[in-house]
Parts: sequence; structure tokens; C-alpha cells
Amino acid sequence: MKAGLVPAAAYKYMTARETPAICERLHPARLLPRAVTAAGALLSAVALEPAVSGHGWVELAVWLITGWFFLSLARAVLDRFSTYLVVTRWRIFLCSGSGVTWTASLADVKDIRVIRSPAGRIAGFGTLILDPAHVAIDYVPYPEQMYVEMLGLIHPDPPELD
Amino acid sequence: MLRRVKRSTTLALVLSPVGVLLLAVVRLLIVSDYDENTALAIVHSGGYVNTLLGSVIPLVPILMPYLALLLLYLGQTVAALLALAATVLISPATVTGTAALSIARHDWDAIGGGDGRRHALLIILAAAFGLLLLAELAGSGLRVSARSVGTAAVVALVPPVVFLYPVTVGNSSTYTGLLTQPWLPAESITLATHRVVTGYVLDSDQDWTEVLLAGNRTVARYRTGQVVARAACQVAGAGQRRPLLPLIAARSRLPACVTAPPP
Repeated sequence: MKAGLVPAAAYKYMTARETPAICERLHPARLLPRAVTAAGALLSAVALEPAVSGHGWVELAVWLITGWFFLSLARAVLDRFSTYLVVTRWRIFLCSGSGVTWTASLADVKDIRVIRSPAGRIAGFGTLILDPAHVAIDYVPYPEQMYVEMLGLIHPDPPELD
Repeated sequence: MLRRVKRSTTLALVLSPVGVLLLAVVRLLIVSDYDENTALAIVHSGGYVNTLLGSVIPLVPILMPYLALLLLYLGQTVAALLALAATVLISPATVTGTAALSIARHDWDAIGGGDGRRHALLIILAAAFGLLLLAELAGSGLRVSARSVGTAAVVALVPPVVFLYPVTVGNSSTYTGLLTQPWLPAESITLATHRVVTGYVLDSDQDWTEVLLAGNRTVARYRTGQVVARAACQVAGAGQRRPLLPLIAARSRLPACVTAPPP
């Protein structure tokens, strides 16, 4: 990947000598948990409305908590546009609007696994597990390509097999 | 997005020694009617460990329903379910289990009522929620989905928790009474002068008996020889409530404490 193709949100966290091999946004499916919570909260609030109406601050609390869940969802949606998974020749990191939220040296990653759920196979995302730290990165898009590329970076010269 | 495959789920904050100590100090001050000298006298007489445990343990039933909500919000679904189960079994509720069921039935009727537009809105919301949940179940599995649903359930659980386990400022709530009630049994103490005082015996030896008086929350010292009789009693307002699902049906009945003016 050419440096010029890397979004500025990720490029600003890279040193001059770093060449990005992978730079991808995480899959939109990562918004699902917050969407489920917000939808469930709204359903509960609307359903409970006749029971809590007139109960002053209980009614207010129900709607405030529901609003909070929606704010949380909105924040996650905005975060998605500035969150990138970046892999260079010597490190892997996640960056977002708030900075570099996680980083690991590629030298510390001895192996990598990929897991795909049924919905992940349909929608095109998966989970990469970095060993031996057992760190899982969920909602990775194009997980097979990512797996192969990252494996190539971790083991540039694999042993010849007969 | 990013997680440890094997991660610790300890509730370090809630169970930390600092948290427990703070809870104990707050409750000790409430029991002492916000008087530091009385609080220190209680600690001195009862011992540090007894005071710490005695002041914290009675808080468990009071805080349990709110702890369950907090755990649900934090995504600790299993711990939250355990806390909810404990709430039903040990936390004193404002109504009995039968009355709570009756209220729930009435509320259910109210929820099911309303006009066609409300029903349509509920159906649309339920369908959207169901579809999103199915997608999450297929994509992230049961554990993550249970956490999302559990967090959303906080909204549904706030009204029943606030209604059944209210913590209000003032004298209107049973919980206020429980908070101000010391962890020692109330006793009617008959003195040689035929005066009867109600209080909580902090310490007693062959020379002196130290009593935290129930009325004005001051510590009084009587010569043990002056104490003619001691009998456990029930302070008005204390221990009147039962959990929603009491495992023991029988209730111990103590005679009511005599309210006497302070010496």
C-alpha cells in the first residue's frame, strides 16, 4: 500500500520510515451490539410508557437512559469513520479520533488465527486472534486476505516443506 | 472490537478494600447521627473488625438491586442475574410477592392497551429489535448478544427496582430506616432505678455497660451492677419489610421497644 493512499487519520500516527501494509476500517457490523442495546432500550421505554407516565423522575430516568444508549450508538457511528486497523512491517495498531488505542509489535506476534461466524461469512467480517498474547480483533473486514497478508509479514521466510 | 481472549471479570472496584471501607464509614456516620464522637465511641467499644463487618453487611440487601442494574449496564450479565436473584431473596421490598405480581399484571394490561398507532409502533420497534438481535446472534454469538440485551434491560428494570426498593431521603422510605438502624440488636435495658432505656449494647464487662441510645444516638455508660434486666426488642419501623420471595415463611416477633427520654 502506498503511503499516499493511507488516510490522514492513520498516517499521522506513522513514522517517516514506516510503510503501511494494511490500513482498513473495521466492519460496520461492530455497531450491532450498540444498535441492539439502543433498539431494545427504545422498545422498553415505549412499552413501559403507560406504566411509568405520571411517575415523575422514574419516567425521566427511563428516557434519559434510553437517550444515553442512542448517544452511545451515535458516538460509535462517528468513531467508525476515524478508526483504522493499520499493519506495518514492524507493528500493528488501532487508531481512532482519540489517538492510538492499541498497539503491538509484530515481533511479539508468533502466530495468527482467523475465526468467522455464520453472519461474518455472509457479511464479510471475522475475528483475528494474535498469539501468544491471545488478543482478538473483532469485526475485521476481508479476514482471509488480512490473515494471509499479516502471516506474510510475521513469517517473511517460512521454512520449506517437502 | 478489541479484547483479550482470556480476560478477568473481577468486580475490583465494587469489592476493593477502599470501597468497602468507604461504605463502612458512611454507614457508621449515619448510624451515629453524623456525630464523629459517637462514631469513634462505637468503633472503640465494638472493635474495628466488628464495626467494619457490622456496618457493611446490612448494606448488602439495600444495595443489591442497584448493584444488579449497574452490573447489567457494565455488561456483566451473569453476575447481574445472580445479583437479581439475590435481590428477590434477600432485599426487603415495599410490597409482598403476591402484591408485586398483581401490580405487574395491572401494568402489563396498561402496556398492552392503547390505540392502534401505539400497537403499530411497538410492532415496528419489536421487529427492528428482533432483526438486529438475530444479526448479532449470528455474527457475534450468544455471549455478546446477551450482554447487549442485558444492557438494554436496564431501562425495563429501572421502574420495578425503584418502586420495589426505593431509597429516598427523609423518613418516607423503609430503606432510610434500614440505613439508620445499627447492626446490633435493639434491647430494652432495665436499670436499678426502674428506668427502662432502649439502645444497642456496644460493650459490657463486669464494671461498665456501654449503650448506644436509640433515641438520640449518644453513647451512655452504666455500671453493670445497675443493669437489672436486658431484653431484645423491636424498634418501630425496623425489620417490617420482607423480600419478594422469602425462603422462610415464619417471622420472629419481638416485643416493641419502650421509647424513653434520654437520661
